[in-house]
Amino acid sequence: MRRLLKASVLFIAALYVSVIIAPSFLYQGLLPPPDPYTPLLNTVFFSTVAALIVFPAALLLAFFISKRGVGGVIPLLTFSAAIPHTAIGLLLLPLFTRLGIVDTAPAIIISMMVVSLPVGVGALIATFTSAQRSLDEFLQPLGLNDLQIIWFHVKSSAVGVAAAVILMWLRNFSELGAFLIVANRPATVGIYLFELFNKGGAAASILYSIVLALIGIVFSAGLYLISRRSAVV
Amino acid sequence: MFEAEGLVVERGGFRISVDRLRVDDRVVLLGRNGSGKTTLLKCFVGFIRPSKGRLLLNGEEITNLSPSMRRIGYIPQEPVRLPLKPSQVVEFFARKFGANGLEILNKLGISYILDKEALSQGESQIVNLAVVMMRRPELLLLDEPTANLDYLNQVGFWRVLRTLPTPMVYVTHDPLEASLIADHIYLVEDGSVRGPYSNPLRERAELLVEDFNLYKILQK
Repeated sequence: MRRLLKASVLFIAALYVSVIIAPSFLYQGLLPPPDPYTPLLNTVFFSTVAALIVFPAALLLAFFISKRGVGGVIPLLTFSAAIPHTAIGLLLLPLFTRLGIVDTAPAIIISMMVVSLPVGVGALIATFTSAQRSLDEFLQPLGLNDLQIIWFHVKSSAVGVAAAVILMWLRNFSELGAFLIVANRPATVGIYLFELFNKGGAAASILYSIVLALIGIVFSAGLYLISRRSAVV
Repeated sequence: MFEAEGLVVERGGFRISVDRLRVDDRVVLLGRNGSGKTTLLKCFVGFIRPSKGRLLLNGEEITNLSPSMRRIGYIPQEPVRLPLKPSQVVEFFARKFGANGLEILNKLGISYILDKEALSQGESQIVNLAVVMMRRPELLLLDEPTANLDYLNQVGFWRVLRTLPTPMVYVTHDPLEASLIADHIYLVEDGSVRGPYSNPLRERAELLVEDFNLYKILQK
């Protein structure tokens, strides 16, 4: 019975990947993208910068929400995950126009920070909530300040924290909706793919989609391995 | 000396009251599961605010102070695993509190842990006690600190506790443990705290712990 269930899980996973990737091989004459590397490197760079900038804020918010009873702010921090990111772009547009940063690197980085903050806060809250509760109760009466206590929590849940950073990074990497409104340039992978499709249709854009899907699988596998290590520890 | 006067603590529909509780030696709060011992201890340490009454530590009112301001050491029930090597733990907290870490480890009989990479639960709990002692607390609060330890680690922990001069409140549901630790006992029952009762069973409890130490007996 257990073997059958395991086989079913494997079958569903394989079917899911096949449904997404296999049909693309039915196309004849797929065209390689003219400049696949620049958008990819841009996106990796901006995703990393945005994740590193927003991480300390996510860490502080998650700590105070999970350990100091300020959970009332959760809806304010996570609502953006519940709406289309084109709407986020439209809401940011007046500010970016006023600042004169539409279609610039800062617009990309700020948009990424906005969309990845809820992901980071959510993942870190989950990490801190599942971590040893007694650690906080032990450290507080010792007179440690909250920053020192956060340091102990981060060290104690290092794997969960690393997984949260990777999730934020992946969210940044996959962003498109906000960029359609506020940052078509410098080119990021989502925008590049969108433009390839608009100009050359499926034949021009599918190969790049496959490459991105494979990159996604590699990153997700990395995240899985980290989470697995976390569970084992 | 620690005192609780006219205390009422309410939490999630549960209510517990203390007319008067004084601690200037080893006091045990003895009560069954769910009787409110931990709630009371969390109030003493400052995690829960009482709805009535006041707490005094050496004559100073601490009722509204945060846990970090109370100079109270707290050992929770679940053994805390600090994410550092034992030697780093001792170094960090000794530096922070300006304490002689090695001297305290020697006093607790665990200086050997400095050479270890990782600790057992029992050792962790005693190291946590050492960390707490480095801050020179004026009161120790211990919430069933041996609940997750094996028998030999429990006995070791109790012996260490008996050597400490700091006044303490020790919470347990186990009458044998209470007999072994307590100078005075308060009974936590039906939402109130009764006592103090002096401990008439200490010597018998110590003998009992030795008599029932099968690990030792079977080795002979």
